Amino acid sequence: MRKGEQNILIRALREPAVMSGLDAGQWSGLLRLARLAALSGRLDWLARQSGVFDQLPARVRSQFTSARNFALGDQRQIRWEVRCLREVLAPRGIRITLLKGAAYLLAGCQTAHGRLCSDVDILVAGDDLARAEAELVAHGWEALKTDAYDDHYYRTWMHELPPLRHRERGMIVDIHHTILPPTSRYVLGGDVLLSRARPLGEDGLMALSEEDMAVHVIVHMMADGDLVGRLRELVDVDALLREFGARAEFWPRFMARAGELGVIRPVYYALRLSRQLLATPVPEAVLRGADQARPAWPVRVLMDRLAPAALTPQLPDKPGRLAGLAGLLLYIRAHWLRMPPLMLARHLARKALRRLSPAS
Amino acid sequence: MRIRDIPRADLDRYLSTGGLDLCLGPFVMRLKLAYGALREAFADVYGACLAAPPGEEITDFHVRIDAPSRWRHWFRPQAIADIDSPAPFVPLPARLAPLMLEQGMNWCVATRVFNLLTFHASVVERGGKAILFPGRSGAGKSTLCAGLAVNGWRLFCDEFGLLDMENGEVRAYPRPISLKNRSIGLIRAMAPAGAISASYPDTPKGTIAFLKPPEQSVARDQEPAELGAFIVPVFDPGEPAAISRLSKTEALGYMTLYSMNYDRLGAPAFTCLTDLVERRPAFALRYPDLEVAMAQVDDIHRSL
Repeated sequence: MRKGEQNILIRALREPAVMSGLDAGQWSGLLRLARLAALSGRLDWLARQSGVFDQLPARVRSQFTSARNFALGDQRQIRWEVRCLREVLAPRGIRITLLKGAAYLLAGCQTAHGRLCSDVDILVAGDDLARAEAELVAHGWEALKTDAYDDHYYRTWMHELPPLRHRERGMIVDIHHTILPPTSRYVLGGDVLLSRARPLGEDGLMALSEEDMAVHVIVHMMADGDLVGRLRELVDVDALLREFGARAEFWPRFMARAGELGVIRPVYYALRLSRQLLATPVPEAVLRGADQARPAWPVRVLMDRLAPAALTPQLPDKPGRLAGLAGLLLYIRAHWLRMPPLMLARHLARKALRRLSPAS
Repeated sequence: MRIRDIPRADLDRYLSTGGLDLCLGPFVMRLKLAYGALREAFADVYGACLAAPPGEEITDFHVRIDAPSRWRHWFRPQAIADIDSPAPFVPLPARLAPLMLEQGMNWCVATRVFNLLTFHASVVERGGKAILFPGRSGAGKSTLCAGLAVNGWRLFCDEFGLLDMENGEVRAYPRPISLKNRSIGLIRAMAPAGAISASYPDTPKGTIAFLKPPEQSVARDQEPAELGAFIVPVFDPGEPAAISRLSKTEALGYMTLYSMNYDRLGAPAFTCLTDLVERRPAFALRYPDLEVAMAQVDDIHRSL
């Protein structure tokens, strides 16, 4: 993204009032970008929240209503699935800690409004893992991946079990036992996060503490992907920090926790991006704290250029050249962070071989 | 501007470069069409419809028809729809590109419209009362719908029943009707000259031709109507004609079965449908041929 040329979706997310003054051409672009970034429902909520909804053109209101109804459908299904999970696991003494979308929804976070969410991520204690999986399989969930290598890959190297899908409802459940792959540079143990989990009112349902919720989405965004198409996660980061950060006592707890878990570097990046693109308010002292973990200048300059470009969604007709390159470089970076070099080479070789063999 | 009034060179330029916004019924679709023959066919079938150059209207959906890969533009050319998201399209030979365009447009409506309650259904209207025929393609409803559309009924849509949940009104979306095999001759015999497009032989469903959206239907495409009745048509040449009244429960069952977004919309959709089923009659119509069916629909319409 060149200076002075601000992406229209990012502008609308950051300052919803601009939506009251767009022409037809701008709307066409904005609505399309929002759909591609899975943020239409978010935009609808922002428009309603900021009071501009009623001034919008009828066609925009129809599209927003459509996006809203779609997201409400997702949310209803998520609530139901969580309830079904709880009915199986809670009586057997297995506590479910919701992550990501399901957690935002059940914990009543602001970022849940209009948010799409098509599967449920849960964290269970390492000791309960095998039992949780067996119980779910006994109650109508099935393993999605059947290939032996995939299964092995998930179980040995990933931070979650192979996804389970309910036979009738089709909803996917990811059971995590830790937050990032055990092979990853950053290690976020599930049990460390569970020690601070808070109950969600309903028996047997938990969510991470506020600071851990924020740390989780940040580490997930920065370490577990290439940033392309991850504006949605930045929106979560922004919304969580705005909501939790409105109370001053959040920030010291958040920074202390990031230090304890050794993830100040991703926090540094996330705060920088979130402030730059979405104008997230962050106290000076917090920024100074995060600055201590900033990378050496060549990396910093490169990331400052690549990361916003990768996060900025592009219309398919005119993809920015920078975004493509940024995506590739960041993809390599994400895998670099995810596993040691030799293991990465072996993994990619196996994937490539499988793609070549016609039998699969 | 009506598509047929746009100078052909301009139309060609829009469709092959930045796109053209087709404004029909509740939707504005940005179309980009590779292949001159496809643009030709589009201009012929959609001639009565309104369109605008990019930037004048707010676009709902983007549909691009092009070769699946660069070399497929020249060597055994094919056409596939790109609608900005994954969709289960299978490339067709380029000569069948108009069918791919219809598929692409249909997929957008079927998977992205959640401000309206949508159904697999044909809808026609007369005297302010819309008749909705739920059913999947192949149930014979297209032939019936086309027959009615060329015999004084206003075509709302052959593929989609679009229901406004706020007031229970039906929205018009008069797209071309895809006629298959024997239906083509049947409808051609009733329709005015030039009402039917060129035929496309050897499609996966046999020969296909399109009944163009009738002028008066397109001219009134922004005019909704009240729902008069639900009719479930069953084509059965071996049995005598029969009309039977469906119970409210049966009607609700059919409507939820044939809705495309009922499960996602939840409570508002349930409320809207139960209310309609409460107030409007539903019928099953068994018919051995088109003439009989049209007379039966007339009878039901008169009784409303």
